[in-house]
Amino acid sequence: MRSRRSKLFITALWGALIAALMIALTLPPMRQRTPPNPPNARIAAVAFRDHVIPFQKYGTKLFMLPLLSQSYDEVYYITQDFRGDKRQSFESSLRQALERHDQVDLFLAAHNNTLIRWVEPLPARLRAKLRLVYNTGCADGHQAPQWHAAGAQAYVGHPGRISASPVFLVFFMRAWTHGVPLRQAVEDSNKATARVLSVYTQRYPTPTGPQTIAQQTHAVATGPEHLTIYARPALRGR
Amino acid sequence: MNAKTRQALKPLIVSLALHPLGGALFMAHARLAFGQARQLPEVLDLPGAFALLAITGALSSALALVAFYRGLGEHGWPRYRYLGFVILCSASLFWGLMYLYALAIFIKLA
Repeated sequence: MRSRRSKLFITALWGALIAALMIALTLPPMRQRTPPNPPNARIAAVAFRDHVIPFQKYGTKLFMLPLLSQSYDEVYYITQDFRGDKRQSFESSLRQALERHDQVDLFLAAHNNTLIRWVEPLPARLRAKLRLVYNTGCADGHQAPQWHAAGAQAYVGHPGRISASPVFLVFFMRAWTHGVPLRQAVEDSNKATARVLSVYTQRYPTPTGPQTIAQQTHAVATGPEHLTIYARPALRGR
Repeated sequence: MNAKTRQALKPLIVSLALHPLGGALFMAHARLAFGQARQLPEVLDLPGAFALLAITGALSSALALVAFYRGLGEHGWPRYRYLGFVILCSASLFWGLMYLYALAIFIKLA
């Protein structure tokens, strides 16, 4: 029989080892690259989740909302109850965000979509305040010209019809909200996503030939490569 | 099964049972929050979800630790049974701590 003290010590040590294992297996906390909330610039985020199962809706919200809330002056988070609904809520939230802030980033956690059509009716002077648009939709990478024409400064999308965007979203959202410049955030997140998806070697047909899920998920960014979450409106360049 | 074995296994069984129970409660909460018929009040939405995770995590972690502590004094088990006991305690503690880690992220410590 071990003594009470040694049993307590072994139990505490074992608990600490499991906690260390957990920390080693999860993503480490990130440091902010630059101080948040620079003067003279108010930034908002509008996030949109399409109609999926409740568990996925919760997962997206649990991950995105705290992350966005600590990085933006104001956050509008909309979740669809049915396929195609919440258009009015989306438009009014985006309009309000654009009216109240200097810049607005738009995060679309939605399967292959045409949400650009909900943005285009807004006045051009408001759309000009759109900064980053990240669209998780499969094969929505080709919408970059449309989003730029609508006023977005930068656009990030996925090219493939079978895109594991949620994996990329985790890495990208963390990097972007912690001040990593856009192009670097996308490159780093693409690499991290490819590592996670490397176990899926099956190739699926695309117009340019068979590609793995990692290749189809590989996000493409357009717009200023040094753009960061803290970029001020005066630094905007097209 | 002798009394000492039962003493060690009881908290482990409860600890492991808390995970599916917590998961079911969490799913029910998600359905309430994102159900098509109704919406949860804001105060019960995200804080409610994290409270469920935290309660499950804290209880299952504490019970896994208690089970491990009691099991350390059990010398009557064959080696394979002891190994299984340690693996189950580890798994329960790992997931319990994960839930608490999620809570830490929510309150912006991470």
